[in-house]
Amino acid sequence: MSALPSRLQAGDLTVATQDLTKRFGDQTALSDVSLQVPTGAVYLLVGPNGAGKSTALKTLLDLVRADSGRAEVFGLDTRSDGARVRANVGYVPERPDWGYGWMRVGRLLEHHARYFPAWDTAYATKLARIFDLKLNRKMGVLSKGQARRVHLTMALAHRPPLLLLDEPTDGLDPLMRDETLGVLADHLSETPTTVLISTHHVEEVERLADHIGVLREGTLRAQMTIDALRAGLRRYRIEVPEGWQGVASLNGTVLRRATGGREVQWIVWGDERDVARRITDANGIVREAAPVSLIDATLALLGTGQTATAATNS
Amino acid sequence: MLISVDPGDPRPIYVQIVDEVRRAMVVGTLAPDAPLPSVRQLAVDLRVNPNTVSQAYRELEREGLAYVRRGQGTFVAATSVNGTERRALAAAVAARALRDAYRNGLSARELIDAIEAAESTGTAATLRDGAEETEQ
Amino acid sequence: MTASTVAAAVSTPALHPVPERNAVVKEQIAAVSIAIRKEQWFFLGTLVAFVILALYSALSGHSGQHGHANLEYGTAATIPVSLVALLIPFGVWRAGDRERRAYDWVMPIDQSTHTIIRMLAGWLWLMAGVALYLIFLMATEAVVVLLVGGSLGIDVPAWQWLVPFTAASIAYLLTSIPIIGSEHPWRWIGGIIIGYAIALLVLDIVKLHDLNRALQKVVGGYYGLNAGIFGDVSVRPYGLSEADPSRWLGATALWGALAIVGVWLAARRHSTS
Repeated sequence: MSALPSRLQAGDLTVATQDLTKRFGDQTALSDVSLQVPTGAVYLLVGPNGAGKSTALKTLLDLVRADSGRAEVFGLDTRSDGARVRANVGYVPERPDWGYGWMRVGRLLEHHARYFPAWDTAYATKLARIFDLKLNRKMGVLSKGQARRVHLTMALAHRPPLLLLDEPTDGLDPLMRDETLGVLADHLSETPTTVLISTHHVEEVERLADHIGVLREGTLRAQMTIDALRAGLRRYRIEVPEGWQGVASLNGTVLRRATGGREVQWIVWGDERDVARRITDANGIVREAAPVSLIDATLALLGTGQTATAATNS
Repeated sequence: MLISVDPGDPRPIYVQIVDEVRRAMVVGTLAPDAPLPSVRQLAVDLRVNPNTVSQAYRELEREGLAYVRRGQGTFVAATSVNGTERRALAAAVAARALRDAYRNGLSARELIDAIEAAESTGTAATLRDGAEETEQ
Repeated sequence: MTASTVAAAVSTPALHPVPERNAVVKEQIAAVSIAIRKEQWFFLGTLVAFVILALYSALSGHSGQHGHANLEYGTAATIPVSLVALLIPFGVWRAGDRERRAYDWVMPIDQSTHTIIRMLAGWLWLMAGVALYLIFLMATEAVVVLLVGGSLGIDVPAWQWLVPFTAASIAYLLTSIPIIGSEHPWRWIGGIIIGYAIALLVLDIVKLHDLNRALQKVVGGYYGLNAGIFGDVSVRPYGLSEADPSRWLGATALWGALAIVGVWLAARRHSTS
């Protein structure tokens, strides 16, 4: 049975890390993470809180230095060529108190503009209007959502080739969340951009994404295109006979199971025909092999279904 | 043209867009040679990746449902073969119904019998009339 | 994937350039000015208050000797500016915990260079403040002389004009070190002061008097910290006496070098958060 893919096919990568490992004290934030974000992709990095997603993004900016491993962005090393990398990245951090709290919003945008020669003032003005930014307020008194909108403006206005968005919709009310997604869709139409979004709110940004990476407890459990995920994961409703022993050969690829008397529901990774055959060979009747929504797929990939020990899988 | 996509739907988004366009054509909302929204406009409206919209439009072009006029955008094909498209739509509906039936433990034969029964008792007529009203 | 495969697989599109160094310096000077705006106003306020007070005391006949402007070591000229210099870095770095300063580090410029530029911007404003202060001092003396009479003779050797500037600079740099280099600067500052006092006490108790005196010289000695940051450059330890340029040079060179090296090292420390 095929294991979950964690390496993309070789290609043009904007972000490529290699066995990145980072510990904070006795906590492992990243463990041999090899992130691959192809150029032009909208890559969702999903995982629960504390999974290491923010740390991964910070490594790309040299905000955090890994204990071992390498990280390259645009082919440049994030440590030795950090300035050049950062000149081409638009970053929205997770924490709202980023930027000079004592500076007014309008002034901070000017400040940011002077660091990024590619700043498009007209675009910044347009974004400020869409996001309804209060230019005269000091950054320090803004709410979480207001601060996030300022950060989004700062990140998009210089049209960087790479966007690193850490929970971009967090703290935004539903209207602003929707506006943000529209702004991103518009931005992608106009500017060739690679986007890496870290989030645990999959459902909010999944329409924009075409790649996904699942990070759990510092480990990249799976990494693939969303099409591949769609193709490779199925929810099987199986009618099982009395005393059914499960399917030994599927051990390890059943990501989720639910039992309801005569019927079990499994989410299994693998080729549909192959999996269905194995189930039938084990005397199960496959009532349905349905595609899995991205949210459910993510939950399944994050789950503890994959165990190395050969427990019965019924 | 108002279309919507549902990320929870098991079909890939670009397939949903294609299906929606096809549906609009068959039902008559989209006339032949009518312009489709620009990739950018549709991406923003639907809040989806513009590449997805491009993919949908390419698929429409591939199936002969739309054509591209350089510099002007994508347009509904004049040869919107209602016959073939109707059959394609019917096939999709049938596939969904069959999957649903099988999930509920029913055979294809049972489903076909049930459909014929529903049509003869007029249930289908009520449904059809109701459906036509909402289309207007 | 080996490193070479990684390199081969990645493309290098036409990248945006990093900003010009001068642009960054200019912007940091402007930004720091906004950061210490409150302190700037307060400073101007105290200058004005000082002028008013001096004029009042002169006009009401309470003043002592007038007639020469004098920059005496460790007096009105230097101690106030050094005290301000010790505190100003907190304004420059505003809420200096490392997570908040992540904004500076995400800028497209080498992180330690950026830190140094910010530090220098604050220093420039400090020097402007010292200069303004001295001008006010002299101008007030001049006005008082004009109003009350007497002669205005400035009998200060040229080098002594530099003392407030160097003393304030060293004070500024020294405080900047823990602020730039650690997440809890007050722990370091408090720790060093308390540690120093405890060391003196312990040495006294165990009767290691020579060591005790040596440690005391670090602060109060001829080239000690007092000379470095408070401009105490008199020839003899107590009372008014002649100013000794070699004492100033020695203390400034010693503590200046330590401060510069300290700041440079602190700026190079990379965040591990």
